[in-house]
Amino acid sequence: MFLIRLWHYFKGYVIIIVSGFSVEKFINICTRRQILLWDIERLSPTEVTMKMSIRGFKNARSAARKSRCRVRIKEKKGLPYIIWKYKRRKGFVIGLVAFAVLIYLMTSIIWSIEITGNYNINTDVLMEQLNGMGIFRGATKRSIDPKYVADTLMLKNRELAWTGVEIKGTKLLITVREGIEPPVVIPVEQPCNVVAKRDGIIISIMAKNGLTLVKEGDTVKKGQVLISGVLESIHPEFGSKQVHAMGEVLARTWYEAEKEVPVKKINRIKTGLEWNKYSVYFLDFRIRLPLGNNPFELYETGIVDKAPVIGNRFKLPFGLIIEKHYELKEEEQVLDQEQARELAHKMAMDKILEMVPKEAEIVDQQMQVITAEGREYIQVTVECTENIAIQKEIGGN
Amino acid sequence: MKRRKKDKTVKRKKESATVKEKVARMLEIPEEIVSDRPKITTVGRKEVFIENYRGIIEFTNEIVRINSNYGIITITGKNMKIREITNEDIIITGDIDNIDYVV
Repeated sequence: MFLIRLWHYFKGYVIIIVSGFSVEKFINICTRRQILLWDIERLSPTEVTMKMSIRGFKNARSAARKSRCRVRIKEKKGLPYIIWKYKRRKGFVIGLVAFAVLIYLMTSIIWSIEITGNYNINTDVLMEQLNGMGIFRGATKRSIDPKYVADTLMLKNRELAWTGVEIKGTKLLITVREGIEPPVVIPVEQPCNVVAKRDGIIISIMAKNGLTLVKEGDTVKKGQVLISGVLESIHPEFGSKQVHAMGEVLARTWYEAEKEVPVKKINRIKTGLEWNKYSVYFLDFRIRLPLGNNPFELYETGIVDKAPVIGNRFKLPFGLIIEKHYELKEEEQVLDQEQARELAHKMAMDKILEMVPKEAEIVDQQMQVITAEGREYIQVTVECTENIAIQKEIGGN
Repeated sequence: MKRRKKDKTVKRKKESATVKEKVARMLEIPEEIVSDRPKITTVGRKEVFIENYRGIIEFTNEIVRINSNYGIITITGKNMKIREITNEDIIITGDIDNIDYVV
């Protein structure tokens, strides 16, 4: 039943009221002419209401004349009538089509390119390479072959270990991973020395090849030769032989950092006042909406980008930027000695941990308070054990 | 009055098998396909389905009279409507009391 109703709705039908003394005759003539009638109901002795298809209605006029009935339309229903109604409104239809086309076009274009994961390679360099491949803002999505782009980027940039190219809505996402460049390794055939990476006291020295020049407990300076690759013969007349020196030299090293103990600390707190600067943009063109000047002296800025996004993926190239300025106020906090020292110590430790290489092991740490010119300083010394051996070509400085 | 008079003039066939029907019976084809006898199907008391009719004679909420080759079929009841009517069949719905043949 539902399907039939749906069919009638699509084809369109009229609800008519037939009045006359021989409505039955009208019905008979209609059925004989292959006109489908349904939902026939008697309203009064002379009136009958029924439903009829649009096509049938055109033929029904002569049937009505023949049966001497009057036919009037009570209601027109179905899709064709709705279409007719809107056909007259040309502007509306044109607008609808234009809208659909515009949406389609706008979403089939790359509106933003995002490159992430690059630390050493400049984004501009990558961008230029992309431009060279015909990828820029405004390029159609179809023209981009992610695999080709990824391969080309990998070939052009040796530093890249991996490249991912993904089109997300109107955004081209390029994610790269940079490989760690392998350290300069001196080939085994080439003779070399082992020198100290930094100052320290030798704990142990183990030469796999070459002649050890220092022993345990020795203090060495940075750059000092620890294991020599030059083997002098006992008999000077035979001269010397050069080998590829190798070995591991564990040494005790020190790292030091100093920080002033602060007397007070300045905290910046938001006052809760806020002033917004609005600007609209299309691609890179930005127009500031004039709305006064920033009233704050000390402030923090946050940027909110309000661009229309279709289905959280298709970002369009225009929108509104709101720069939010939050007013800040400074508050001085007087610290007591213990707090202040702790703070200074923490800062000094942070600084040291930046200096200490990853492979070094921290053995001991010491803190010292130094007073000079009425100010207090915290000095932190960290003692580490690490391998300070590094290969270096003979002769070079 | 006029209508009743007309009813009498309607040619009525006898309920005996025609040659077509005999052949159909021999070949084991369902008879209603070849015969022009009306086929009435009712579903509960709400729906009557009539095939092979010739036309409607009267239609009100209480009575529907349908002409067929073998007489007038009178359906009485309440709130009767014609749900669908085509050249071959007619579907009547409503609270049906009676289905009669008037010969």
